[in-house]
Amino acid sequence: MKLVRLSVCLILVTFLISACSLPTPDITETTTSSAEALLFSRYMAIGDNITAGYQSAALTKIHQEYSFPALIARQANNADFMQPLLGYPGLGSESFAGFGILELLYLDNPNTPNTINPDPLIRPAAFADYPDFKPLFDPYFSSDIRNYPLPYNNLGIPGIYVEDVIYGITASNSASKSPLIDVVLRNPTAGNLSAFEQAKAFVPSLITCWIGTYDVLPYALFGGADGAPLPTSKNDFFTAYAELIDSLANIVPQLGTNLPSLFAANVPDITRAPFFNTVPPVVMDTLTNAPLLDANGNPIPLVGVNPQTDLLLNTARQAFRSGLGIPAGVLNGTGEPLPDQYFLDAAEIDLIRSTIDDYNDAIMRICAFRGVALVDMHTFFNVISESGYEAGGILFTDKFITGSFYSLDGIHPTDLGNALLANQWLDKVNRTFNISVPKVDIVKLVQELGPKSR
Amino acid sequence: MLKKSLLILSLMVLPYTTLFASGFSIYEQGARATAMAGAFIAQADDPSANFYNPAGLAFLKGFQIGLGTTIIVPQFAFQGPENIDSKLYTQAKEDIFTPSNLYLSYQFKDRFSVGFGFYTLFGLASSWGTEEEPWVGRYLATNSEIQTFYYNPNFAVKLLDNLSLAGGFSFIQANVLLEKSIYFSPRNVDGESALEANTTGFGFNVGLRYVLFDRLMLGAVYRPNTTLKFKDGDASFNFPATGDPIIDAEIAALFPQKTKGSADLELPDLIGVGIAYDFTENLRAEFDFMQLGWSSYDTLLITFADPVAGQTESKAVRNYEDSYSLRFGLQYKIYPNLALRLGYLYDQRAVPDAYVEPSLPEGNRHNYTIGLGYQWGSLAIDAAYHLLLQDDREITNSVNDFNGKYTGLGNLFGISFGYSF
Repeated sequence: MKLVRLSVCLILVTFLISACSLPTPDITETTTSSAEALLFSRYMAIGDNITAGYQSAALTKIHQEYSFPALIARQANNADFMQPLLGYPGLGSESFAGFGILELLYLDNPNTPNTINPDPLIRPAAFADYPDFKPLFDPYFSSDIRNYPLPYNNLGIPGIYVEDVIYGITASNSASKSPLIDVVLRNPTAGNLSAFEQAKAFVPSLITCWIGTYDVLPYALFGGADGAPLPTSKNDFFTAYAELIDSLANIVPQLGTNLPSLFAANVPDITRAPFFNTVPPVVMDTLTNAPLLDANGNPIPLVGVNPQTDLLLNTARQAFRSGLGIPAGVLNGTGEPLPDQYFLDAAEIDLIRSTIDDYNDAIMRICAFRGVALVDMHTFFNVISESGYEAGGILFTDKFITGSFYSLDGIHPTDLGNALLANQWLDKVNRTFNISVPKVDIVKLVQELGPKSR
Repeated sequence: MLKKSLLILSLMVLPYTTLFASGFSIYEQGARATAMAGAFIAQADDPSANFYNPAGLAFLKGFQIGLGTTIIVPQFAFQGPENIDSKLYTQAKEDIFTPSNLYLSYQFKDRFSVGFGFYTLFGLASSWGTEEEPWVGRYLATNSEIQTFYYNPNFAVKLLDNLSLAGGFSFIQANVLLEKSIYFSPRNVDGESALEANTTGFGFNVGLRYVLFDRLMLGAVYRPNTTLKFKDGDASFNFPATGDPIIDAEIAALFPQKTKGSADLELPDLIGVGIAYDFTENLRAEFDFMQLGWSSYDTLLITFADPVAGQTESKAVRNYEDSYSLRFGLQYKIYPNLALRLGYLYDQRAVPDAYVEPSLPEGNRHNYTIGLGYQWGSLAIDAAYHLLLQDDREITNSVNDFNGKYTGLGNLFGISFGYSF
């Protein structure tokens, strides 16, 4: 009996000095398998602005390196993913006037110290300040990039229409006339091959195709004014998109049971981008950057603008400087209505949205018919606008400059925004092929990017 | 000049989180009770009655003193978040906490006793990532700490030979430290924020104990909720110099390097009942039920003396829920002076799924306890081992989209010394 009691005590003492510990799982982070790397080894990206890595109104290396296709390739350990990297300040919508990328000079302009609301000062970088950059003859970051002997893996070209992917050889013969076609395709040197033909020549292992936004975007950027390029018609879009998807599906491997290694995305509602939602539809006090109030304390409506329905473009500020849209007798007001190119009215917004709905309907039907997996970017961009999207404690919203998602042009996503897009694509590829390529760690990327220079 | 109201930066600097909950209330305040899973409200027959049920003091003879500590070694880990890497595994830094306690009891008249308890009712901390290796959730929480020291005099009276009533009040000394990273998106700069505050407060407690047929013991305790007013704590926002004086100035204009932060924290009320029974001279069992009224904690509002990113207050919805615990304890006397104790306790979570976050990685807990007590004349030595196993908690609806799996366990070692004069 004594022995029993003693042994009980011994067991207890052992208990008291032992301790349990939390088991570490076998896998502590997702890594890319060699099979996954192989799937992306000859990855090609087809698309327009966002695919190319266009951001803050230009295409330039510092942001091209964080285009969503580049991030996808990186996650899949594809070190050979080549892009037409351009030098600084890059080429974009301001280039015809001698400027490249937009820079945030001041978050709050110090020259207007009495503003209640901060008035950011955004300025395009002038080519004149970068004598080494040759926008016309050699905008590439290096001669290695210019002379790269194979097609670029990122064949996204800012400013092109769907039909240009197959038929656009040079800027001048394309439907969109985008000057960046020449930069990305390098014809005639490249053998007068279109983006599609270059992709085909490369024998891709996987293609992402996100095109169609620019078929409607120019109309919106011109405020739907007279002379604005009209959106590609519903029928033309359908025809061009069907031909494109048919063609692309034929040049990618079929995996499993007739699953083409081709992924497509639909068109976001561009009218929700900050470019169309930042300038308020009332007269702003130029000293305080807050709404100017009348004698009764009410904001003063602009001339020619319906504040309930209309969306002002970020460019409208230029018109205010000349007194347009401001009632006579108020500030510098001329009493003339705000010119149509500075805002979208209800009918124009309707046209843009219904066009996008038509495009997306076409995209959905064509992709479903072909068995092509579709990334619902339309919904994802809506989430950004409606509730915001939070990743690792960073909240991405549609706020201009401070929302983290949209770059300084108010249309195209930031580097981090591109990382979110890359994760949307990776999610879709992972689920479609039942694989697990790691997503971009947004929080790590913040550190990698470091403080943005001005 | 630049403190502008409309610059609504999506900086999520502000919703500071806290780390109170069942998981962070410390009920291990005596090795004897701990070895029986804290089921001690009905027994309350040593000086730790000051904490568990002061009505027990009325039954303690003469002058008694208790001194003890609990070595708490919690381990927590998070796997996720799902929208970054569902497999990414981060283990919180393993810290050791040693909440200690001191108890006195004195029966100064046949029916009247006084007592004093010093203990830490709410406490602990969590710490994720390091400066060199920041972790994926650093914008939600990095270091979180709280300590509440209770100085608790009690007065107990025997109303009948077998019925006692007690009341006491507590002087509470509390410290909090909350740290996390903040992100200045326009310039992509990372900074660190900290809020450090301390305060004092008062709390009350009452207890009741009833003994039937010399072998059935009943007990009940109640502690009303206590509001701790943290006033003018030190809030700091530190960003590294970027090398660009204009960016540094932008940051300085939005984030005061030093300002004051204030917040009220309501600690939950506690209600507990217990029943104990001596089956034989050597075998005793107790069962307790306790509830912590966490539902009173629905939002946390922090106000800043200077605007931070254009805002002077931050409101975080917490929506905690009341949580209960069930405690079963057994004591078997192997020798008249050597007791073996065992216990099991189930602790229900207080934080609903959507609001779980790294500063408080809590969940439902199963706890197993074992211990020994040795009586050596007037000296009693008690030791306890307490294993806390937290149910893995898979979060899919986090309000911060910080979804993933929380896992946790804890090893607790208690030792207490008692002496009766």
